Amino acid sequence: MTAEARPFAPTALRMSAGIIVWAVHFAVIYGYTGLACARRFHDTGAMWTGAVPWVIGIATAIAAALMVLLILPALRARESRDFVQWMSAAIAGLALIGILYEAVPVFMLPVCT
Amino acid sequence: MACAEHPRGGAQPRPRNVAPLPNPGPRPAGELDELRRIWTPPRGLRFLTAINNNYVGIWYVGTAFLFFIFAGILGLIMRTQLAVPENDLVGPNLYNQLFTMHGTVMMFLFAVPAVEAMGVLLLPNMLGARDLPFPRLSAYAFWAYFVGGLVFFSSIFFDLAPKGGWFMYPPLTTETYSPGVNEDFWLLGIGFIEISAIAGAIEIIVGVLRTRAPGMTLDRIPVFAWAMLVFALMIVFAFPAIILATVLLELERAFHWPFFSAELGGDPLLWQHLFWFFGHPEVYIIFLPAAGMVSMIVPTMAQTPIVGYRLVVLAIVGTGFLSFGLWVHHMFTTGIPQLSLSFFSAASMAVAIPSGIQVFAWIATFAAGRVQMKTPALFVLGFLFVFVLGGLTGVMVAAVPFDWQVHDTYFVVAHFHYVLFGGMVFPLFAAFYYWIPYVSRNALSERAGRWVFGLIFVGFNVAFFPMHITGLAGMPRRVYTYSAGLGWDALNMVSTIGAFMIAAGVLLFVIDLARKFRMGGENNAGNVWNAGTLEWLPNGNYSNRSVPIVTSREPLWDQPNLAKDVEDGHYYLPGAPTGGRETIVTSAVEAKPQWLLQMPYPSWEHFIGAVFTAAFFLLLTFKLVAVSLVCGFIAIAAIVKWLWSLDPGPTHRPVPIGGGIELPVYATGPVSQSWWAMVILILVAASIFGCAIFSYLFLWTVSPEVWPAAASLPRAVHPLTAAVALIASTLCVAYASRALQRGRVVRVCLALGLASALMLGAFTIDLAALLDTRLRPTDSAYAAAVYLFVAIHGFYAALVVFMACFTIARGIARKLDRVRRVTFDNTMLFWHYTVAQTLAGLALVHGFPRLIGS
Repeated sequence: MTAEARPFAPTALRMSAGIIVWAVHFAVIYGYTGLACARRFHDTGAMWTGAVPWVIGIATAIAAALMVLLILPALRARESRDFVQWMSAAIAGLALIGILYEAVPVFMLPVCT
Repeated sequence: MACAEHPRGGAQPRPRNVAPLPNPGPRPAGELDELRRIWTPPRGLRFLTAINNNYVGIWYVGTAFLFFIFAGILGLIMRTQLAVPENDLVGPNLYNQLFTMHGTVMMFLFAVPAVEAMGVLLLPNMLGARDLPFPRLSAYAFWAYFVGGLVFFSSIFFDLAPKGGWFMYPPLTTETYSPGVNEDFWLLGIGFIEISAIAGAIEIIVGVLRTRAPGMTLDRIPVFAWAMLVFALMIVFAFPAIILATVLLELERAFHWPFFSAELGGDPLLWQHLFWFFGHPEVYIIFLPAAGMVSMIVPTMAQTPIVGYRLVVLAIVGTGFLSFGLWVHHMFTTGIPQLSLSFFSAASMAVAIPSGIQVFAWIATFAAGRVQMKTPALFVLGFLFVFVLGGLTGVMVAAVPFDWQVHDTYFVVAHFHYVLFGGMVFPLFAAFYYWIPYVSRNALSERAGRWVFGLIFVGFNVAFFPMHITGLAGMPRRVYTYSAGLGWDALNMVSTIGAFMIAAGVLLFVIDLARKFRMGGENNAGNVWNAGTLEWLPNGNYSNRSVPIVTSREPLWDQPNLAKDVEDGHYYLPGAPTGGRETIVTSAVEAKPQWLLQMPYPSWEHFIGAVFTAAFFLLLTFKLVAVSLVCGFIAIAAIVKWLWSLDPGPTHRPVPIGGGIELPVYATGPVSQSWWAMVILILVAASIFGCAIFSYLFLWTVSPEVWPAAASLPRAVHPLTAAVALIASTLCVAYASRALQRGRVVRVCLALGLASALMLGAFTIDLAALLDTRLRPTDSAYAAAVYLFVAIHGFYAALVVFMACFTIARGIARKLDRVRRVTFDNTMLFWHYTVAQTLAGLALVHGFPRLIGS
């Protein structure tokens, strides 16, 4: 039996990290907004905007920062031959677009109408 | 068969692609005959038990195509009815059944099985395997689908077909508004399709990851195989939502558990969330494999490697995950807050990015090469035109205000036919023309092919383009007739003419198929397109004579003499060293040979199991509970007999496969294919459970008034005792694992027995505590949700105890020891998962109401 230099589970996890963070971010912003609107606590909470935009903003900042952490190693690498590294960063890049784009409407729309 | 040549460099090899041959010398006489004999399918009636992927794959594709024709005929009847206003060809009752069955059959019995079937047919050869790792599972998936699908379809002849739309929205589909068994046919009839799809998905995931030819690293996997991998993973995460949804609706219909009844705290929107969490990814489940096929056809037609391979793979993966963030765009008109809708609107637009990447990659590949304008290329161009148009209207309906205007109109019908017919049917026809020489002695007629394409392409646009206008003019979907003079008359007539043009194209295709298609075996038409991937190697029932070393993405273009060397047995595994069916298992990332998997032979068990699985679900529809249970018992008995024949143990010494490599013929633990299948099954189970948690929390969000005060819950001592028993049971199983390592089989059996007693004890405590509160599942949505978790607890407890009994029986029969432990490992993995899941369920049911202090 030949030894595997690259074990599957960490490789798969690295390549899916962007997907997982995107999914958690999506669940948090949709779930929290839905709950806040159903239970009418959207107009209470922090500062002048209410809690929902803050939660979305903070979740988006954390998710975006994690994506940048995933993308940076690939940008720093001298050559992009490594498929796993390239794919991990590219998936994180696509996830970053999704994360930011999905959060943009919070600047444009009222929370619960 | 002609040897492929590199389209750019003739037959000149690139130096980096030269690999030493593992078996350079001449092969012993009789080796090939032996290989042929071993892989020959049985004859006569026993032919039904054949499991070779080339036979099962063809049956599978053929059956899916049959359902395409059946559902197409339903579509033609609808179009005939709508050709003129106030037509009385069919009445509303039949019309409702027609559109429900058209959608359901096209989605569940044609589209998903068709692409799964193409995977079963193509993947082993494309990956360089002798067969996929679980050939009997593929055959089981096929037969359950074949038998169940035909019976399900025939319900339309007896006025028994479902009529609530393919999405089965309650409250229309609850017992109050849809009495009778029509909707049950859908809810239970879809059951075997779900099982079949998941069985196929497990096969495909393990196949793509573990049975690739040596050297086929992740960046050399054919794009179609990447697409099938993502497709199968999407099934693992999307189908659980519809499995749970159908269970909940059937529980409501049969036993009045009010998950969807608003007056008792339920919510019809729960169904829509669950259905579309499955239903939207379903669109991409169908599209991605089709896109994968296109990514194989385009480079061959253009005779140049695909442009932007990595970007195309990224696009496939990206589409796969973003598609899970789109489901609410089917619910834009349900009153969900605008901000929430806009998340889905944004995600719906974002998914256009990866789709766009693929479209540009195909156009660039066509531009980079010299295109042979053959029928597959025509269908690909037709696909690009139609699918891009569907994508553009998709971006339009992703805008919430526009969607409000066109929701439930023919504009949406036009949109999704452009996407689905364009994104899946055109590529599938391209694939038929492209791959038929791989399975048949003759290619299809090029001349007829052009007519088929012309009729289908023109017919499609004539049928569906006017529907955009019909929809904008206000014609609603799912109406069986309409009044004259509303501005819809001419448009509908044009659509009907187009529909019959499509039908003429399909009929011509069937005639050409009847004239030309002959199963090829070793005498297939061969590499008529000068393609570069492994499925075009000379092949027979045993797949390739020897398993090549892959050094690039288009091995046939880059490795001269590959076809001849493979056929002469100069690569790995040129014979059958164990004397039976076998395939090389390679590592998932780098595709290094790890061990030799001994494959099963044809047998009746999977066939009987499949037929009676379908019978179980369908008879349940007619409330024939006793007969249905007998069928279920027969299915289980057949499957247990099948399982008993598995896990053969190390029956053979390690064998040489060439190149100085000697492989063991048995593996346990994380390297075995069985471990991988079990982990994927656990992911399916976890997804179902995740959907159950979502359902509980969703119902609490919309109906907090039916959630009880903490004081009326069972006392905390009950769930805590159950939790302790569960943890003790899992410790027993862990102990049994260590005992098995030391070869103490008796202790293993005793520990499993004790673990089973603890598992059943925990369930009894859980159930008794709940019954003691006098809460009944019909009381409210809360009660239904709580009993759902207890039912899940009971189901899994029964399952793992059954697995433990099976393992104990293996121990008693001396089929379990310190080496031969795959059966035990499966039981152990599932046991630990069950305990973790049940603890989470107990925490939710007993902890959540206390936590929120309601």
